[in-house]
Amino acid sequence: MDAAVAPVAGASQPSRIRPRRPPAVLLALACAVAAAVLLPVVFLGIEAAHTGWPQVSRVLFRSLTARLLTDTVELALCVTALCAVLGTAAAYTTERTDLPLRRMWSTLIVVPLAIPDFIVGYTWSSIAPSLHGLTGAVLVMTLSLNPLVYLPVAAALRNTDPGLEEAARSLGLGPWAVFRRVTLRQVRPALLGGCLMVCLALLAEYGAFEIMRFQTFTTEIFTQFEVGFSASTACALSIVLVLLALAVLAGQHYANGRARVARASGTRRPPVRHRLGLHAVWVTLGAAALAVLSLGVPVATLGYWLGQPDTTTLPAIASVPSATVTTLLYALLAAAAATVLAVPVALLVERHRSPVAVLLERGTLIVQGLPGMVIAMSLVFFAERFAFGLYQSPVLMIAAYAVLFFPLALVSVRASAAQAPARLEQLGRSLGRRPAAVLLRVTLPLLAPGIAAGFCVVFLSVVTELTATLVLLPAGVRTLATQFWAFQNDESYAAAAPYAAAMVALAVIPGYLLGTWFDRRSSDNRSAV
Amino acid sequence: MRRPLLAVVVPVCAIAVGATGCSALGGSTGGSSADGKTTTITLYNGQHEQTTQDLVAAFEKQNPSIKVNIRSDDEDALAQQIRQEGAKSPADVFYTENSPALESLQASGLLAPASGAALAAVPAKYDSPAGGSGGRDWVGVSARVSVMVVNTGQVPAGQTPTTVLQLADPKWKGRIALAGGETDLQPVVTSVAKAYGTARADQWLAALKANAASHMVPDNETVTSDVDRGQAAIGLVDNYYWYRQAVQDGGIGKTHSKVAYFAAGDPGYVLDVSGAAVLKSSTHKAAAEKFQEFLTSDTAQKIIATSDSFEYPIRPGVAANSELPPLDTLHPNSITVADLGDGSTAVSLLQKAQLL
Repeated sequence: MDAAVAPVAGASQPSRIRPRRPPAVLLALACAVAAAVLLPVVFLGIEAAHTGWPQVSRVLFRSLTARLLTDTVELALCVTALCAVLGTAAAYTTERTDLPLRRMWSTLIVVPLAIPDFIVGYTWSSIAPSLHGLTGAVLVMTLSLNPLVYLPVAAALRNTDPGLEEAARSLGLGPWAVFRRVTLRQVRPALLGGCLMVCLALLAEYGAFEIMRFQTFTTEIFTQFEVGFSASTACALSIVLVLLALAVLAGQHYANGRARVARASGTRRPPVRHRLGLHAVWVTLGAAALAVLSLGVPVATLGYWLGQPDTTTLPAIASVPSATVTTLLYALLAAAAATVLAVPVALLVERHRSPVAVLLERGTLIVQGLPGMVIAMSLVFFAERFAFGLYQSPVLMIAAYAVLFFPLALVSVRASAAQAPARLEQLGRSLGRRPAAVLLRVTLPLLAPGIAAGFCVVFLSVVTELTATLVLLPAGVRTLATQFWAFQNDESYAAAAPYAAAMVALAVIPGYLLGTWFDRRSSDNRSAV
Repeated sequence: MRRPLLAVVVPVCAIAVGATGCSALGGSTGGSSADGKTTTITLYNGQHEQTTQDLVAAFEKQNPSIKVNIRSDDEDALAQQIRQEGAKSPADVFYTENSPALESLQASGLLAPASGAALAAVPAKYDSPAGGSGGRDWVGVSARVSVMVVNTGQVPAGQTPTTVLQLADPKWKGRIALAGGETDLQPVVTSVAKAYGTARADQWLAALKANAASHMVPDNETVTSDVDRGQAAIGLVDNYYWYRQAVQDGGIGKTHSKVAYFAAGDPGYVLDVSGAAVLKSSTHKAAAEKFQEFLTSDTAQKIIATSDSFEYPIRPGVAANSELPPLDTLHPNSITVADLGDGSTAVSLLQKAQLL
């Protein structure tokens, strides 16, 4: 989702002014935030050191690790490739062809993002129990994750200059050659960004793979840490997982650095849409198939189970209303915490850009590569060793969410900071206002859209978070996700359905707010169609 | 448009947190309330919630001054947590599905001696054998027995295996469902290793795993339902899983599977015990012991017999659920709680077979 924001943020540079020395308070705050966000990595290191190299190497160099590595990489390659093809094809179709009902298709392609992967897995597995292993995992993850490619690529297509494509066509290139040699190159950074998000999501996913009975590093770490016998084994495997994720991040950074997007004319205008003619029938059928598989099947299955009598013998720890209250409270608190943390770092990077600021920001974005499981586990280590008062407390749970989703909040707040003219703040100061007053009366209101968007994204992510929640949620309560999980593990599909439905409902509202916000933003940036 | 949104969200946040208090966030740790009248104990629950929730509700009703805070998880995970937490553990009572988790904590000196009244309430063979300190640190609460769940459409009568070794026969290739991560499998592995030696147990596990092939599943609930749906022909589980599955599917008459027992005395036919202990680190030992005594009381044992638990109560004079064959008509292997030990042999065998 942040990949979709990035091009928008980069599009307007004028707000950035000559860097001034940052106020000491801001620098200190940003450093504190970066340190807090990076603590899990430090704890992981401490725990590994405590475990000792012989133990770690014994785990790393056994055959199970090699198998996990090949399985995880194989899955990542399959799903990323499929998502790249599906997402790009869908984006090209809605942005560059005259397909009827484009807006509707565009919505239908994006909405599955509001349905957590483990719910998609549950719906498929409940109607097709024999669907598991690599095939099941690839199917479920491709259907869940392709919007992560669709969104940035569609945004990039909307923002790129169709003039280049027209020039290429006038020089005699066929439609396929134009697509391959011009369009695809223009959207390459967005496509890579989307693929990166897909890869990271795959590395972090637990629930869907557990349901599909497909072992990856994350499921094995969960088993070792939660069910198994060895925190040290889990820790050793986590290091491999973190290295994998960092490799993905680095690869994307490298590829992005080489991509250059040229613009032929100064203005953007609506593209000449590719006429589909009779092919529109096939394209419509394709879009409909995607919508049925990725949205129709989960929603219809959920509806079916909602209508079935609930005959489970497993008692519910939390009723739907009480699980909803718990989920909402955690989501609100975590979203507030993550956005508050994001503000100083965003301001430092946008208003006082310096090598230190960039380093701080890059450092915090490493968290993107840390699966929720690893963050949760390292916080448990931390509490056990250094802060037993926080052990099994709500504070630790909120901290985990705040760290986990900090990058999402940061990207949103940064986008606003980049767009808000810094001159207004200078003006405020030149009129004799104290810095605190300027912050309160000028800066924060200017950042409000980004803060609101960041809040919504984090809120949505917390509602649908499962892995870290299973590890850290205090005793006696259940969120919608964990109560759903208890029933789903018991194969009590009908009992699980209301919790899944409530989760989807809670995720759709901020999803909608976010959608309208993006729409307004991109139409601000676009000349009228 | 922008400011009103923020102006709504922030107060809603504050009001929501204030109104519901922090109870919805969970995490009330053990302790005494302000009025000094109620004590809260923390129960680390490795038993199924089906069994525990009714028991805790009845206990709280009987003892209004004690509240029980339940933390449910896999018994292995909880045992591991208790080790990590050490003397600071928030747990007062640990209630498990099988004896090895308790035996291993007892050997590490993390458990307090069991209440004499609780030990006296059930036959000694179901309790902890003499512990490391010479004391007996945990008490048996209920019993279960390992069985096969067989799909009636796929396995004709007369072809059902009679010994656990036959499950490794290549003729069942691809037709066995197995949950290697479930602690319930460990007593069976220990029993096979005791009867035939670890080398033979090793081969048996490898062949069993090969037969399970694509039906290596995460838990026994899945084993039972896979067999019932015909995804696999035979599953190896504890008996009560099948009865719960049957209740969930609308009654015992509606299943496509049945429970099949191994031949009398077969090493796969293991009776193992679910038990409870008070932790040495508990700061509410009196209340914790009261809960331990409650678990072996007539009231609690009758709840186990009549609820969806489908385990065997072990207090003399309390009859099991009428759906189950009576406990004294079963003919399990003679392996004892002491033989099952802390389960470490089974764990290393399972790890070697890459089932863990």
